[in-house]
Amino acid sequence: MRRLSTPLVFLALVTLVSFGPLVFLIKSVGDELQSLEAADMDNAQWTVSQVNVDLAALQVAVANASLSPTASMLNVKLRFDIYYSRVQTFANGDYYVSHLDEGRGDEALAQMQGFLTETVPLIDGPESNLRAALPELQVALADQRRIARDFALKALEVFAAQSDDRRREFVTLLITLAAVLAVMLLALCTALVVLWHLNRLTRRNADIVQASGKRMLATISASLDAILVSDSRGVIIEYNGAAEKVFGYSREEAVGRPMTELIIPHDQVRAAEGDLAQFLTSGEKSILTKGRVQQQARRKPGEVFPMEMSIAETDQSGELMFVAYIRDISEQKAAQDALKRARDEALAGEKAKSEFMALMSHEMRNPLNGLIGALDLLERSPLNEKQSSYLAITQKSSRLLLTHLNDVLDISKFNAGIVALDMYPVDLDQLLHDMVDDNEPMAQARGNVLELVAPDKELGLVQTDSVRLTQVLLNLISNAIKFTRNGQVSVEYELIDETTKTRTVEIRVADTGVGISEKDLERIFDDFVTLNASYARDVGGTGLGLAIVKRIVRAMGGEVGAESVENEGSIFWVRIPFRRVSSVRAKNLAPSAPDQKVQSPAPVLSLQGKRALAVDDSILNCQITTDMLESMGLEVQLAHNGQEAIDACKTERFDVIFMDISMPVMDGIEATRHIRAGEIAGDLNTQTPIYALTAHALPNELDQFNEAGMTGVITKPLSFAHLDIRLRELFPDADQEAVEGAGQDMRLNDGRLLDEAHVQDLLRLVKVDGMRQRIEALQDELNLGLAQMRDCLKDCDPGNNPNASVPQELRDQVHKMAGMCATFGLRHLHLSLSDIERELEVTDCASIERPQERYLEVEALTEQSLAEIFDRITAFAAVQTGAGGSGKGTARDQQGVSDEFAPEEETQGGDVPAEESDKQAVEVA
Amino acid sequence: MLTVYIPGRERGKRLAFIIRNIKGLTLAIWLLFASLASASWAQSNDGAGDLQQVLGVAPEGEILLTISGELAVRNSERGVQLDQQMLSRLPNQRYETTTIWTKGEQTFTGIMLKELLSWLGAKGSAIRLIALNDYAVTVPLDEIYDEAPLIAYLTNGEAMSVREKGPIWVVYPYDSSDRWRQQTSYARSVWQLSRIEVID
Repeated sequence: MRRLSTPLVFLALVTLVSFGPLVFLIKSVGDELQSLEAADMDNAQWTVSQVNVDLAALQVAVANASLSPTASMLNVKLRFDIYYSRVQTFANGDYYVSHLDEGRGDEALAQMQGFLTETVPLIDGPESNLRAALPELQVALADQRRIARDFALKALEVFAAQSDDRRREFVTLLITLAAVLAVMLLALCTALVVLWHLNRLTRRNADIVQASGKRMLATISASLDAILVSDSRGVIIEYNGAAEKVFGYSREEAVGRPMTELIIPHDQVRAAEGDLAQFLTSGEKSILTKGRVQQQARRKPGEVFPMEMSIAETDQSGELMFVAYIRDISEQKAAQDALKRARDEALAGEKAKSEFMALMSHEMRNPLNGLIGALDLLERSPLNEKQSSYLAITQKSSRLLLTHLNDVLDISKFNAGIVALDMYPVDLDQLLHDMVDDNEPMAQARGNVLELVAPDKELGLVQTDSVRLTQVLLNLISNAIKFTRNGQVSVEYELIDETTKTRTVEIRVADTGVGISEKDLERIFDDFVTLNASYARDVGGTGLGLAIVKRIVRAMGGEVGAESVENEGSIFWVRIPFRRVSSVRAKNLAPSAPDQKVQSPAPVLSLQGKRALAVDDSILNCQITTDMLESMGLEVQLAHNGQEAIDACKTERFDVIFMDISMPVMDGIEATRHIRAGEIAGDLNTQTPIYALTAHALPNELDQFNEAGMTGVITKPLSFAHLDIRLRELFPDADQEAVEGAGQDMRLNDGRLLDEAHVQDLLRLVKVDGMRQRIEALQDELNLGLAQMRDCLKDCDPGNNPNASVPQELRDQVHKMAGMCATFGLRHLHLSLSDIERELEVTDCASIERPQERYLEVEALTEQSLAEIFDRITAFAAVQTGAGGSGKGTARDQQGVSDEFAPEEETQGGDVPAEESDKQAVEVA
Repeated sequence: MLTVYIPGRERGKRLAFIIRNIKGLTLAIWLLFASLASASWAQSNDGAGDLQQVLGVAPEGEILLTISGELAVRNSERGVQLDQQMLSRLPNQRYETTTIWTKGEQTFTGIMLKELLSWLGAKGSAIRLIALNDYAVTVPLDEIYDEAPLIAYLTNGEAMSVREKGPIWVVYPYDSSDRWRQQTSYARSVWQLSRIEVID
């Protein structure tokens, strides 16, 4: 097309250029024609030649008249007149006058006119005169004849020349015209050819475009996805069959209407328009052309459905267009949702099942705890041989039952996803060594040699859950012993990989036992697998051992595997990446394994004079614990709930406290918190080791224990072995401890309510009277505050208004009171109020725990604190006035208390709540 | 300028051919303008009967014009003869125009040839106009129009002598239109007219 338009332009130019001359030529020809059309002369040749004719006629008439003297002169007169008229025509006629001038015929004409003028008197005169003059006239006429011929010839010459000139000019004009026309014709013909060619090209292109358009239309209409094409303002300009099905609008309805009006949900129209406007102004693409997006769309009936959409923009001859491919994914979404729901339900069911299993195991373990404890005690009573053997059987059975229960509980816990590893620094070499030592008797009993193959270099401390690791190794070692008779079991370990953070250790337990067939090897780590029925009967087992091993090792980030040749032996290996221990930490704080099968010898520890507090709501459990501890020489005091424990702590200092967790009135965690805080429970036992006694040490519970300030955990059922380990840890040197214990001052109530140092400072600062005034004012404020709290709590009663949120004024009141208490050193009250304040931040009325009770506590505490501080004022006044020795003693005591509280004050100033001792937290962790 | 040599005779033929064709093309346009131009002549109200009476009486003066052929009226053996008096009694018309044979504008007074023929009840296809000097030209009847030619007997209000192309001169209103400025019209403009023959 472009290639051809150049000649076309050139041709048009040629035509245009030749148009000017053409117009001029046509005009000239027209003028010429016009002049031809209107002849400005008659047949001049004729007229001229007639001069001679007329003259000849006159000569004849004159000659005839001369023949007879009587002849008429009329004819002579007529012919003269005619000749006269002819000559006058040349003399007067406008045309002849103008043309003959050029032909120089005027001389002859003048002579002819001269003759006529001379002759007129003769002709008009008497006939006789004319007759007489006829001969002369004849002679004159002969002369005239010559002149007339000259005139005629000259005139004819002039006319012929003029005519020739004119014709020649006209011919030239016509030839020029013809030439110009020929050029134009040529140009037009060429243009025609070019146009024809162009037309052919255009038609061919049109055919191609039409064909591709048809193809495109077919593609669009056959598409399974809805296809919408819109212009830049979002007006639909194309809409396929699938779109009709998806949206419910027919093509006629849709085309020409804006998308916002048809398919965008009403609540999203504004956002869509915003996107479009933003795109048009800034070119920034938001939802537009962001690839595949999931959106909502609206059908004709108004139903909103999910769709997946992909938008492309295209530029068609400067006009921006959007092409949207839309897929209705409502069914897909519905299927997804259904699947998700089904999965959630299944998971919830599974979790419920696991939780139920864990709970059941726990419930079964509690009575078993009592049973095993009682059996331990029974063993220490005098028994005859038969009774001893029964006892042994009973003990073995109960321990086996406990093992099974633990297995099931473990699996349940793993399945419920509630197992977390408890990482402590552990001496791996020592642990393995102990393991082998402990299992030596069992190996020997089956005629096996058990040996430990240690690497040259000790591995040292690693961070791990020693209980779980022990559980894994014990399982593997005892399995090896069980399935080997008169053979060899070796435990090998070595460091196989080391990074800055981890040390990967492989531990192998190899035996020369029966081995495992290849097909069984694949499933030994599955749940409930027991390979050899007879062995199973013999050694017992739930078939969960290796399944638990696998889960534990996985949880530690390691792998476990086995290789075996039947009748030759097996190798079980575990590879665990242990975390390095950054600094040396106490290694003996890890809780002991609950299912440790080591039978410790009877305790020989002498703990005479040590005092223990055993807290358990179960009378039976209490009894057993008491008996066990007393048998070790400890003095035991009992408490049946947390409150009782606190009360006991108020009055007595203990060397160790065993704390049950779930108890009525106050649970073990709270009691521990109070004891550590030293406020309610006094400061006698803030440092006393507190062990949690629990049958269900779930990870989040362990966290709670740590936070509360517990020293460690002893898993129920309580056994001599566990107690022995713990007590040995606690009292490595009983004598020294006894001395320290004796050094403790048994003070009762001083300082537990007040920040003594602060109060003393205040007293020194504002003096007795000032202090008294201020405290009285404080008393008024606090009483007012308490009254308001009471009112608020009434409003906030969950019975009346379960969903009400905590009134802001209650929060403000508590905050204000806490602040005042802090100012005057009412430490405990301050802390209690701060706790309450913190709790009020996050809870609604219904979730405030024991509001009435707590209120009463605060009220009581207020009363006590105020009484205390008034006492301090009185005492200070006494000292000031130099009162007796008792006052001095009080002052000394106060000073001592102040010193003791100094570090706690620092703790209070920090971020950590006062109840938690940093040191204790670290120890437990 | 392109120069193409064309031999004389051939040239003349071709030229005629070209002119005829172009003439046809442009004639229509010129006709349009022709109709706009007006010749000044007035319509006589005299009845045909009265005029036939006039024409039926033999002339008394010098006979200026003789009309012969098949006529409804006769006043002599040769047909109808007219003298100056008779001519002046017939309804006349007037042209004001120049001619190529005279100097300046002339006022011609005379009788419309067509009217004259109708008064005479002339029957035929053509007429022959014959002059004193024996010049003769034949005009078909359908080329005699309502507005031309005029049988003039006065020039500028005066009778014409033979020297002044009188006494009767057939004229056309040359100035009013190109239509009359044609060789044909010029040829039919017979001066010193003496006879009209109506022929079949």
